[in-house]
Amino acid sequence: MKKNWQREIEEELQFHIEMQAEDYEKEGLPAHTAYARARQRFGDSAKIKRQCMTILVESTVSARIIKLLFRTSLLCGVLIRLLSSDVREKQIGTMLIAIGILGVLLLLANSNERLLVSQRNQRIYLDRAAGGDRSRDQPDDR
Amino acid sequence: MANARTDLMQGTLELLILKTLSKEQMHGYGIAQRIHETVEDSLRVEDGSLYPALYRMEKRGWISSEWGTSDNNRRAKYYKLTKTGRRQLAAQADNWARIAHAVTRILEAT
Repeated sequence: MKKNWQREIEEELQFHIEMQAEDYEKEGLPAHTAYARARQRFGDSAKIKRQCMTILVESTVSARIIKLLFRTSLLCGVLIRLLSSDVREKQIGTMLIAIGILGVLLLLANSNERLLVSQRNQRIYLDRAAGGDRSRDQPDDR
Repeated sequence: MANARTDLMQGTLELLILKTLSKEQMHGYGIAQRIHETVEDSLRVEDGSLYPALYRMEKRGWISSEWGTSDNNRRAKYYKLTKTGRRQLAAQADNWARIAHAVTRILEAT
């Protein structure tokens, strides 16, 4: 499955670069210059591919199973607490609730942290030199 | 000073993508082009940064994707807004308007 994802990401990124190169060619650039400029404008495609893969992997079955386990633990805990009259069973229920809440909170904190980091990495900038300056196509300093 | 660059607020790229997809489904290149055309080069998004944002947004259920055929007969991945995405667009646009209004008022006051 991972290989399929990699292939699809590569295909998608490649499509973008080639479309951009075609547009540059229509503007009159020679083919090899157009392609080089399109790649440059796109940015670090290997890094972007890695970022996309990470996002996909995080939404995989194993990640969902872990989330489901924590939620099930929470639900079971609540049910045991509600239905059982035995003190010891109630304690187990409390423990399951605690594990469930802790797990859900940890997952939430983790995803929020990743979200903040990835948003920080978004490379958006204002370009005050509106106009045809080709140097705008240079990638940011890394 | 030919190239003054300023980081925009977090989440701005997502808002731009949501808005761009609100009218029709598009592939990544189309989204990038539409954003560039709309803002007339006064605001630029580094093209590659679009894709992690698209994947994140799909993961959150704001957009969905499917492979299709582009105008030039090539296989391309098309994105479209989901119902959740439309709600998110409304919420983010509202939030953006409030922030812009607040900042403008502060700037005008000083």
